[in-house]
Amino acid sequence: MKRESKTAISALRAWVSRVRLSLALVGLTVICWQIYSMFFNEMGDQYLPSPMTTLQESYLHRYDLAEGLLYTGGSALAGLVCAVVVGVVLGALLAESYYVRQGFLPAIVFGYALPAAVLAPVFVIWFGTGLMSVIAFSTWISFFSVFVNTVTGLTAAEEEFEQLGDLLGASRWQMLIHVRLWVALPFIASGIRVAVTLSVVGAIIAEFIATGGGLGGQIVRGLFEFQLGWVFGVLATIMLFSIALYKLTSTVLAYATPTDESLS
Amino acid sequence: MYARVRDGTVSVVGSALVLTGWYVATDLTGAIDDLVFPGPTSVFENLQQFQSIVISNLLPTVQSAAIGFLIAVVASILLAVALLYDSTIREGLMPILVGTNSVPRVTLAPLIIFYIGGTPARYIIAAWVAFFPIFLSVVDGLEQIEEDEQNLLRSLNTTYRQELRYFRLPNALPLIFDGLKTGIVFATVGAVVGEFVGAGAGDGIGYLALAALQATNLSLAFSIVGVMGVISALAFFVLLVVQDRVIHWQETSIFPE
Repeated sequence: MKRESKTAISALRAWVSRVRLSLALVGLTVICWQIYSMFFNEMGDQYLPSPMTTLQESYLHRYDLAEGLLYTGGSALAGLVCAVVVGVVLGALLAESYYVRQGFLPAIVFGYALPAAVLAPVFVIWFGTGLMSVIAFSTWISFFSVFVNTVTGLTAAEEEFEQLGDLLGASRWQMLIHVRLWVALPFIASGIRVAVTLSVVGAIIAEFIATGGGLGGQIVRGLFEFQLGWVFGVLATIMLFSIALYKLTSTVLAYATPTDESLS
Repeated sequence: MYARVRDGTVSVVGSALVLTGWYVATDLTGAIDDLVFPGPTSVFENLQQFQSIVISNLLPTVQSAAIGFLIAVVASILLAVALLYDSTIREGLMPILVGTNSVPRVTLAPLIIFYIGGTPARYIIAAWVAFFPIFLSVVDGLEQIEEDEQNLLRSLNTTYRQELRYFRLPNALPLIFDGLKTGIVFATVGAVVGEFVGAGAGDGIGYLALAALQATNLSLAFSIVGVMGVISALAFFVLLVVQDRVIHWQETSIFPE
């Protein structure tokens, strides 16, 4: 137990020493911003809130923020999980057959290149203005990176492995489960890492246009009511949440792909 | 050569099958209602009916995306070269930039509109969203150099500019193109989301898509998706062809990693 906390502290120390310049830069910016707001900001705190005002107004709206975080964070998490499941399963199906893969390729490029945001209204028409459309759109927007990476990874196994499998008389299913999935794992992991941020993006875009709830809705509402401190608080909440979600996913994935040091 | 022809044939046949399946499931048999998933006929009719509106709303979006993309490309190249040149700047800025990359950037769109407003806000949103994938891939690409090459450079006594021109840039090109491919999609997303939250003068594809939502006209929403998809796929394809020509010594991967 004691040993563990010791490594946590030394990890923290290592992290601080690695990013100390950046931390100093961020700290300096916040201080300059506060000084600017106190002495030079002629447009008023209403227009460009200082860090202090942001904190105060965020505190006033703490229940809104907590509720929004629950909604948006929950939707993003649900969307991410759905995207990973659907992406890996569909990717595995596609990787199994050359003809299916190559036949669907134009459709996939179309879907990949399509700016996902134009589909948001379609999802709202399909799933209504509630939580469902937020989750569904978040799934859609984060799906592609998992899916494409799964296909790439599953088709990346070297020929020697295929020959070894042939030699050992492995069935198709055994090849998939025991060989190709393991080769694909780092690819899938990096796809999931990209999907984490996208799932939050998807949830917020859907909230912008549809539900009016969640943190995305609060940004629009706060601007409309001219409460910039609240808006800044919402943005900070979103940032902290996505960084936390990213770190959490990265840690889980680091356990899943322990040998690949370059990815951690 | 044979493999290429075979790939192309399978792709064409596959796409034809997908489109036929769509047509059969919706228009021909009516298994799926037009109100749930519009068939090609009704999408095409809608497109014809709203042709002039779609075209006039297409231009502002494509323009914002293109200008935003260009701003992002220029900014990332300038910043990346500066970062490579000075390790203190790199040490200070890189963690911040990487951190910003893992934060949902479109959330700032309403704020950019609030502070900047008008048409410039559109360009800036698109550039802001597209910047990071491009920038990070440029840095990643330019940073990678093998030890043998480093030794060779040292023994040849090359200048920094020569090193950039003859070693780092060619090495970086595949990654840079990956970044550009992601970036062009992101720029369009930025442009559309900007319109969702009211950037510019109430025109553009995002605005039209919102209007389709308000009218619950699913066929129109589908036509918009189709048109945007075709345009982005074309831009994507152009980038692929350029990449194939520029990096002629290596096979081109379709999807950025």
